[in-house]
Amino acid sequence: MWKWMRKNKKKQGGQKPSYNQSDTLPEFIEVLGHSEDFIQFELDGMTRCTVSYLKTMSDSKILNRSVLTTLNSHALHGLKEIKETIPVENVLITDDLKVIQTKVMFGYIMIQVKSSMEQVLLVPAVSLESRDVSIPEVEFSVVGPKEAFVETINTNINLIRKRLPLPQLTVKELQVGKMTSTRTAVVYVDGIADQDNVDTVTQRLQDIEYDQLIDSSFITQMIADNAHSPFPQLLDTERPDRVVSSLVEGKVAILVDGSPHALTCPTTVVEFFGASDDYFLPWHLASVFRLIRLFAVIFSVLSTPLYVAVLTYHFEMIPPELMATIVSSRSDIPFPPILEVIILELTIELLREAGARLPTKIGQTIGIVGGIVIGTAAVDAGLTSNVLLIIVALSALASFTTPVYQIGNTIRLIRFPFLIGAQLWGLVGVSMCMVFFIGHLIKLQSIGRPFFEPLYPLRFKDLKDAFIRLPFTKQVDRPVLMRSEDPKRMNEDRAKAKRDIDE
Amino acid sequence: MKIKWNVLVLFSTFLLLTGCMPSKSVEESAIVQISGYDRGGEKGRIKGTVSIPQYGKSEKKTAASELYLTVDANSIKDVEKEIQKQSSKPISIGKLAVTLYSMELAKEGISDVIDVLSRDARLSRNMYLAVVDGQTQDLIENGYTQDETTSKHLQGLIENNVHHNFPSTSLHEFLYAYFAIGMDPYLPILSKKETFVEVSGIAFFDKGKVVTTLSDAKVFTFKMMKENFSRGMQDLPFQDGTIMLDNIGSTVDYKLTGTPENPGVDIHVKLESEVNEMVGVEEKPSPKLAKEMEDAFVEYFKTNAGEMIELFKKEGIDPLGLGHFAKTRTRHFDEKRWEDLYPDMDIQFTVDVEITEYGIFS
Repeated sequence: MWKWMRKNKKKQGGQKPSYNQSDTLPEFIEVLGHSEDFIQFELDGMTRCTVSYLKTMSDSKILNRSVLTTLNSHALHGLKEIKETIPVENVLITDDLKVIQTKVMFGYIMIQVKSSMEQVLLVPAVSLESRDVSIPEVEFSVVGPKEAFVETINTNINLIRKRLPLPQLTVKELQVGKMTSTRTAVVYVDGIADQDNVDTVTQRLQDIEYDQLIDSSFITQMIADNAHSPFPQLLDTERPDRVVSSLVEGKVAILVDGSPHALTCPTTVVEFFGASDDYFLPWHLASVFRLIRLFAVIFSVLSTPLYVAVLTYHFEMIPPELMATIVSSRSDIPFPPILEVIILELTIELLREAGARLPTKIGQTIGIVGGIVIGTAAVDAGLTSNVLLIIVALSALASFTTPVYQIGNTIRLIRFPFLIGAQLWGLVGVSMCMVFFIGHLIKLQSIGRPFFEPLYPLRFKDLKDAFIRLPFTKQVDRPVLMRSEDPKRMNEDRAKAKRDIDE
Repeated sequence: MKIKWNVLVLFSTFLLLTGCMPSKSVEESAIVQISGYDRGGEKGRIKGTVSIPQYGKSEKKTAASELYLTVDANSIKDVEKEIQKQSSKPISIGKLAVTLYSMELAKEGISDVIDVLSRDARLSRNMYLAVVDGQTQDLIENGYTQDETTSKHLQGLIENNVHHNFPSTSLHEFLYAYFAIGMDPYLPILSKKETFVEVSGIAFFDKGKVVTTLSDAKVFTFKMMKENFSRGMQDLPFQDGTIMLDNIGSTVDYKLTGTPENPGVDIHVKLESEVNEMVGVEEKPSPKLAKEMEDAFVEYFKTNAGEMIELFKKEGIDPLGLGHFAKTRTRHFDEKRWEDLYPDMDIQFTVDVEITEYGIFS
C-alpha cells in the first residue's frame, strides 16, 4: 500500500501546478481582469500601446514619472525602442508566459504594442511594503548589535551582506510553495561551507511539496531529518549577527521572504543553549552563564518529576531537616503528588499561553495576577503545597533562560513524559525517560550531521565552544561538525604571539 | 508498523496495570525514626518500642509531637507486624536513624537482631546503634527537647560525640567489625539521667553479646588507639590541680612484631595537643612545665592502655581489630591460632605526647 502511495505521489510531483498558470497571455489578462486592482488602459498619444499593471503592487511614482511621461513625449514604435528610451533599469522584453506571470504578479508594469501581441515589455516598478529594521525582541541582548531581521528578504540579505562583504558570500534563490511561490534564499560562504551541506539543503528545499510557505518555521518542520521529533533540528534566529557568525563557521543559512527569522544548519543541541551574549562577555563569565543556563534547563525538566518520584516512592531521600516542612505542607492536600503537580504545571502553562496571546501590557498583568494571586490562593485553599509552588515557579522561570525560543517550547513539554514516568516507576521511571530522550537525541541528525555532536560522537575539538566558551585565541579551528573546506579560522602562531612591545 | 502497535499495547498495559499498585505519599505513611528493643514479659519475647513523629498541619515547627507505640512480639519482624496493627498508616522503616537495645538484651545476645538489620535493604547503613543502660522504652518515651524529636536528639547526641571523644560508630561499621575476621564490634552506651540522656561509655561485644564495658573517662584513650582524630579532650590530675588537654591531631600506627610463630603488635600513638586550662596549678607555664605535663600524660595513657589491653585479652575480644590487621600482613593467616595466642600476646603500647601550645600569657 505504501509503495503504491509513493508512486502516486511521484506522479503528482511531475505535474505542473495548474491553478496559477494560464495557457495564453489573453487568458492570463482575463483572469487578472476579475480583480478590481488590475488596471489596463490603451495609450493613444505619441506612442500607441497598452499598459497593464496591478495597482496595489506597482509604484505609481515610477509609472507616472518615468513610464507615462516617456511614452507620451516620444513617438516610439516597437518594444525595443521603448526599452531603450524608458529611464528605468532592468527593463526586459519577453514572450515567456511564466516569466510574465510572475513578474506582473510582483508589480512589474506590462507594456504591449499592437504589432506584436505575444511579446511584452516588463518595467520593474515593484513597491514593497516593509517594516523598518527594529531591535530583536525574542533574542534580546543587552550588549551587542540591536538589529533584527524583518519580513523582507532583500532587507535581510542586506543586513547579512553589510556585515560580511565577501564576494564568496553566495545567495541562491529558490521558489517554494506551489501557490505562494515564496522566495527562499540559501546563503553560504563559498569555499568555507561544505558543498555537501549546501547541496542537501538546496535539494530538500526543491523537494518541498506544499501549497504555502508562510514562515521559516514551515521549513524547519518540512526539511527536518526527523519530522516527528520534538527537538527543532534547524536553529532559527532573528539576529543578523548570529547568522553571520554561523556563516563564517561554515554553516548554511536559509532565509524566507515574509519571515523575520533565518534558519542556520547544521546545528547541534548545545548550540540552542548558547546566546549571542556569550561572545560579548569575557570567556570565563560567558562560560559560567552557559553552565547556569544548562543547569536551569536540567532543573526545569527534572525538578517536578523528582518531587513526584521522591514523595511517592523514595521518601528515604528527603533530608531530615526538610521532612517536617514537606510533610506539614502536604498534610492538607487532598491529592496525591502527581495530581498536585499536574494541576500546578497546567496552571503555569495556561498563564503562559494566555500571556503570549495577549498584548504586552495586559500580558504582564496576567503574569502578576496568575503568579501571585492564583499561587497564594491555591496554597491557602489547600490545593497545592507551597513547597511545590516554589519548585514549579522556579522550573517555569528556568525554562525561560533558553536563548532560542523554539527549544524553550520543547523543554516546556518534555517534562510531562518525565512526570508520568516518575509516577509509574519512581526514579526508575525518570531514568527510563532520560534514557529514551538521550537515545533519541543521539539518533537525531541536522541535515545529515549528528545533532548531539560534541557529546556523541565525542569530538574534543568542538567542546571548546560547547558547554564552556574558550577565549577567541583558542578558537583556531572551525567546528569539525561543519566539515569545512577551509578548517582554519586564523593563523594560530600569530594569534598567540604576545604583543607586549610596540615597535 | 506492526512493531509500533506492539509497543503501544505493551505500554498501555503497563499503564493500566500500574494503576492498581497502591502508592502512598509521604504524609500518608508512618515514618519510624527510632526503635528500641527490650526484654519482653515472658522468656524469649521481645518488647519493641517505636516513635513516629507527627507533623502538624501548621508550618511552625515549634512543637515536635511523637506517637509512641510499644508491642510485645516473638521476633524483630514480628515487632513490625504488631506495630502495624496499632498504626493508622502503613509503617515505613526507610528513615530509621537510631536503634537502641537494652543492656539486658545485649548481654543475652543480639545476633538475631543484627541478622535482620544486615539483610533489610530499606535500612540506611548510616544508622546509629546504641546500647541503653536501662529500659529503651523509658528512654524513647521521655521527650527531651521542645523542638526536636527523640530520634533527632539522640542522632545528634551520638554524632556530636563521635566527633569528639567517642570512636566512630554506625550500622555499617558495626556490621564490618561483626563479620570481619579478628575484629569485634563495640557500641556506645546511652544512659538516661533525670531529664537528659548522656553517652556514658562503650560496650564491647563478643559475637553479638556484650561482655564488658568501658567508662566514659577512658574512652579518649580507646579512641586514640583505634583511629586518627583531631578533636576531643582529656583531663588529668597534675600536681595539686587538674589540667585539660585538647587534642589537635593524633595518629596511630600498628606494627607487627615478633616471629610468625610468636607474633606481637606494637601500637604507637603520636599526639599533638595544647593545654589551655590549668586549675590549681601554682607554677607558671613554661617549656619545662610543659615537658612535665607531657610526661604525666604519657604515664597516664600508658597505664590506661595497658589496663585496657589486659581487659581485652582476658575477655578474648579484639575491638581494636589487631587480628584483622595481622591478617592483612600475614600470608595464610590462621584465625584459630591467632585467637589461641591472643591472651598471651606481646602487645606494646607507646605514646608520644607533644604539647605545642599552652596559651599566650604576659
